[in-house]
Amino acid sequence: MKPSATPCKAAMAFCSSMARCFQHLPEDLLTDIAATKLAMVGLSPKEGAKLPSELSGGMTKRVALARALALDPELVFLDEPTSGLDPISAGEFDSLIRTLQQTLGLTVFMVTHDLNSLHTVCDRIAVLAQGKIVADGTIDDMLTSDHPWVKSYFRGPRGQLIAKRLEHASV
Amino acid sequence: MTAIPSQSLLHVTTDAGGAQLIAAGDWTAPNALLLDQTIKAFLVATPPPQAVSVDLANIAELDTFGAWHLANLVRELRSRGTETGISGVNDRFADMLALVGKASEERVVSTERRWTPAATLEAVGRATVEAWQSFQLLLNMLGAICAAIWRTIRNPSTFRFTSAVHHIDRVGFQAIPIILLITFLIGCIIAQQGFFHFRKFGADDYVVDMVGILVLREIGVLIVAIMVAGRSGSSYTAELGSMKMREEIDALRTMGFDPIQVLVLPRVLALVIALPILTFLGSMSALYGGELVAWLYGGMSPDIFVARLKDAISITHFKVGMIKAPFMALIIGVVACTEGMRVGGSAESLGIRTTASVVTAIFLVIVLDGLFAIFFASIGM
Repeated sequence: MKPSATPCKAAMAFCSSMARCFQHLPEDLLTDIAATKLAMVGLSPKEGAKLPSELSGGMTKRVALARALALDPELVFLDEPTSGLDPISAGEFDSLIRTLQQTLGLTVFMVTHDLNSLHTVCDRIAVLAQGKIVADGTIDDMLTSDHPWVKSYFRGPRGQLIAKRLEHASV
Repeated sequence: MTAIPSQSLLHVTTDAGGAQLIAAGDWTAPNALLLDQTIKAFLVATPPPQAVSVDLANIAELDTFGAWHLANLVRELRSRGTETGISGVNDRFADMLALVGKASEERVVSTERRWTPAATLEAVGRATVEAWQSFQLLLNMLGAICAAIWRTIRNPSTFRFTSAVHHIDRVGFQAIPIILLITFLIGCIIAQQGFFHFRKFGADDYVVDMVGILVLREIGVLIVAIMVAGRSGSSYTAELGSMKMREEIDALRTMGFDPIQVLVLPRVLALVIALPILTFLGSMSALYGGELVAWLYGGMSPDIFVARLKDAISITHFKVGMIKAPFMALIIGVVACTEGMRVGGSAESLGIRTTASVVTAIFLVIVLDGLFAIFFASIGM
């Protein structure tokens, strides 16, 4: 989830990635749409003009998401979107993914180890262990699974803590 | 892309009270250009009507491109004082329209700078300050290396012997083939040019003097130093720079190691040891090249060449070349390590610093050569 290894401007970078696919679109239209996409992920044009090295971790991931949304995909792949973020940014990013998924009608395929994300934003979870999918279903299915690895993943000390806390919060 | 008549995307009917717009078809990215043109044409052609109602019931597909155009149309109309109503919004698109409508209020503020004389002066000023700071950083690095040498002398067990040997192998031993080849060719070229032009005056014999003095005093050490700056200086900068990028140098500092002592000193020392050796080998190779050309092209037998060479050059010429080598190595090493340490967080800065390292090192090597020429001339060597 790095926006770009090239040090061109963030907003411009993803503008140009669109420009390459829609070369017939005028430059100012692309710039406006780029600004809109950045605003949709919660970034102002001022932040969009920053270099990738000047962005914070959360902003980096937002820019990457905006760029992924540049061409209006139906399916978005995210690889560990909340890793390395503080709980505030991670929570915000989770709810952003959820909002965009609902408003834009996206299908989001997310690879994650974040128990919080799994509990809060995922509709369907598949557990990959020892190279195979060992469980598939909702978070409740995961919590009742008998597979030893899934059990220790979701109902280990950390898993139980989060499950308890979320239950507490929802009550 | 198939051309779709604009009528099918936006159908306009005008009456006394205002205009009805019926949006239909696919308001999606592939039609974005058409939408753009249609909406602009509508906005330009019509004088602002009192009221406009936009009917979205016939829209088949909508994505963010279409939603943006719709939001833009409504905003443009409202900014002209036209009452604008939207009807027939499909539930599927309501959320997206709301989100995009809100997001599209953001406008890109142009940050492009115009050219002014003051900006040029500012750039010149910045470049001057930058050059001065670079020079200070070089002195800083030289001082740090001296301090590290002093610490190593007082506590020799801290010296990274293995690392130094590894770097001598890399910048010295592994560079031998390419250095021999290049200097051999340079020797050949100088001799060939010498014969070609001196022959007109019947001064063939003096080609040997020229080749001998030029190679031993100047060309040998200069070519080798420039080769080493390009070959090893750049790799030093890139190595240290990528370590800096991955914060490995900070990690060393945290663990209580001095990066200068651990990384820079073995590298600079390896260059200072390797460059004189390479210079010697390079000079010999160039003389050999000269001799070969003298024999095959100039018709001068090797015996005569060697005899002429004995008369033409003395040990002084050899010394002049060799004395310069370690100083040039020091400059290359200091510049390469300083630039490596200046790499920031981005891949771009690694490229900039590596280029700066090679350019600065070659420039300073040539400047140093000039200073040595003045020095040796004034002490009569």
